[in-house]
Amino acid sequence: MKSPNRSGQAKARLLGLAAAAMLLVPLAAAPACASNGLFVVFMPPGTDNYLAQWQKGARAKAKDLGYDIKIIESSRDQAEQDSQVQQEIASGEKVDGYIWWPYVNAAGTGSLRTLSKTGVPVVFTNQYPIAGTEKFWTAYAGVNDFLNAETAAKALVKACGESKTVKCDKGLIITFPAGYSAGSDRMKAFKKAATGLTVIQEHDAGFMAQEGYKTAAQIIPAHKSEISWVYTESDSLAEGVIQALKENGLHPGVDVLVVGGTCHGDTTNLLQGELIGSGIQAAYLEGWSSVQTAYKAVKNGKVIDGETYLPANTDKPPSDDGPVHRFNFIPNPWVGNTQADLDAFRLWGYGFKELCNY
Amino acid sequence: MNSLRIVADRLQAGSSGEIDPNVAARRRRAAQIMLTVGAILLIALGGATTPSFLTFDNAMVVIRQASVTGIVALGMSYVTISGNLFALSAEELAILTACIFGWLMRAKFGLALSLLATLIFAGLGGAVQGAVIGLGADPIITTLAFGGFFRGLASVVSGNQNILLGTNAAEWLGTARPLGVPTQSWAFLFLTPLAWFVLQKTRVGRVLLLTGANREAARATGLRVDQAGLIGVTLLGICCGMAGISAAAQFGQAVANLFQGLNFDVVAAILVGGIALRGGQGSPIQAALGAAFIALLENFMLLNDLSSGWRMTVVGALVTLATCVFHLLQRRR
Repeated sequence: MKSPNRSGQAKARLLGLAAAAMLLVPLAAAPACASNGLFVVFMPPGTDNYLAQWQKGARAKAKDLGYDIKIIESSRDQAEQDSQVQQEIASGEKVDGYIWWPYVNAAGTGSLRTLSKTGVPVVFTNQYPIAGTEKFWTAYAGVNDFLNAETAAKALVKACGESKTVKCDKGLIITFPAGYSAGSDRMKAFKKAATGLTVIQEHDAGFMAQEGYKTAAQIIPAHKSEISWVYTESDSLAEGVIQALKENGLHPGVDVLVVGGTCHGDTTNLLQGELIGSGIQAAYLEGWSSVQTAYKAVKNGKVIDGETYLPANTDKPPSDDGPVHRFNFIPNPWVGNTQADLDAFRLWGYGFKELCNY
Repeated sequence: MNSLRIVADRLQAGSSGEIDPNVAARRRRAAQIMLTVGAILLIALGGATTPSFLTFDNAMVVIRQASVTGIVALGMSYVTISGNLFALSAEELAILTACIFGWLMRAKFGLALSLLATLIFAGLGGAVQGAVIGLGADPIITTLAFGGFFRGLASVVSGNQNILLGTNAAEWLGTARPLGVPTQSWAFLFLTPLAWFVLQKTRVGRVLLLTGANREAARATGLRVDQAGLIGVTLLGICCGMAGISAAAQFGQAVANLFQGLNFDVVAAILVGGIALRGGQGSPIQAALGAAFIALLENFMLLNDLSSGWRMTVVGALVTLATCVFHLLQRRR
């Protein structure tokens, strides 16, 4: 018979062995090849499908370049993201470049300044940097929200001119949540470019179809006799608005023209002509190009003033060589609302479904 | 059943020394007066200042807006009345059930099986939380933790992508309007009296009321007080399941970031409706009226072009005011 002590020691040894084995398994599974460096990304949570797709693009490009990438997600809370920046810097980890996607752009300026003090390149992404923060970031990479809205406005004005059933005059704008600077940037640019159109009401709603519906369902009954167009800042929001219009007896595409801003997975509204078209703001390509910009900034160490638009090649992604500009925008091409339009679309080697189906 | 009713009456009549019947009555009256006066003032103000406010269309819109929040608030009223404050995982459980329903529909399990499986899952999601609370865990902390778990699981189930249902089989549930009234509103209007009946006229309801009124006295009478949390959160879970199914059916898709702010909206409905936070008093009808009043107020503000910042400020102030008034009423004996 074993003594209790011996039995206890044996159990402890077994536990120790098991713990060591558990530690060794991931170590053994770690890639043998050496990494060229590390990029750290701060961004809102990937539970949002746009952000999840952004992450896929960023990870794919980092892998392609031989870099490790660490994505630190915050909940929708700027204070939490600020704390994450402090913790990451305090960890002393060797980082080659930061990619910064604040939740609340203005409120995140303190953290941006902190990142800039580390001396490594800081690439701003997704939200246009606010004035006065220029010395805290190296380059911007991603969507041009002004261009996104301008593209939508021009497409709407064109559709209004071509429509045989709608005489465009008054309309509504449904936006991203208050405080989300991409939303206010898009609204400003849309209003500027939508010549000849009158805005009756503009309201912030959120990001999702459900939120678009909640807001639109309440304001459309009050204006249904006079609305001729609706601009939403994304196709997801547009989906909710389209449902609210239908519930109020209006036929999108026939009585009212609806234009969105960022394509998404469900093409039903598009193919039924309820949306006049879609702007291809691809989350995957935005993540991809943000990492490429960080890589170029590290490699070249020099940034050219001004802006550049990455070429909208159909099959070839932009080269990893060449300089970084202060603003590096991904293309935002427009696509029509027929199956043929969607089938014919190609950007950087990807089709509509691959770029928008998320 | 009769003995239970006698015990309940005694407890609510103050025989335990903890519940003053005058307080309960005063509280109920105050809630009713506040909501009635508030609604009359709001309707009068809206009618005078906002041309499209006093219309049938807008009334339907308000009821529709109150419906999903209201359905979840009915379930939450059981949790609060049973003395377990709030379950702060309602939003996340609704998201998860929407994703599960979407996933089942996409996998072609058929409408009936998908509905059944989702509601069973939703009930189990509530029951597990209720069981943990029944063991003595703090309801707020427990449900917060489960909320994180549910949200994470929704993210895993959806793969952080839109789950397209790929069929119109569920469309009727989300978009139909029998007799001009949205399905969600029919569900809300049907569930409100049912929820009241369950609480007031069934054994289950009595257990919730008694446990909420005085846990020790309820235990002394031989009731299993741990069942109150279990029943309350399970019923809430089923209500969250209905909300999740409704959202997925409405747009033919589900995603892991639906229902932004639902937890706050539901808690606001409970507080504005005047349900006692300490439990043992109140009715699901109060929660339903609270949800309807907040929807009316939000609609008025939206039609008057108030920004979301102002809308949140006003609703937050209203909840604070309601909490203060009911607290003061509770202290006056």
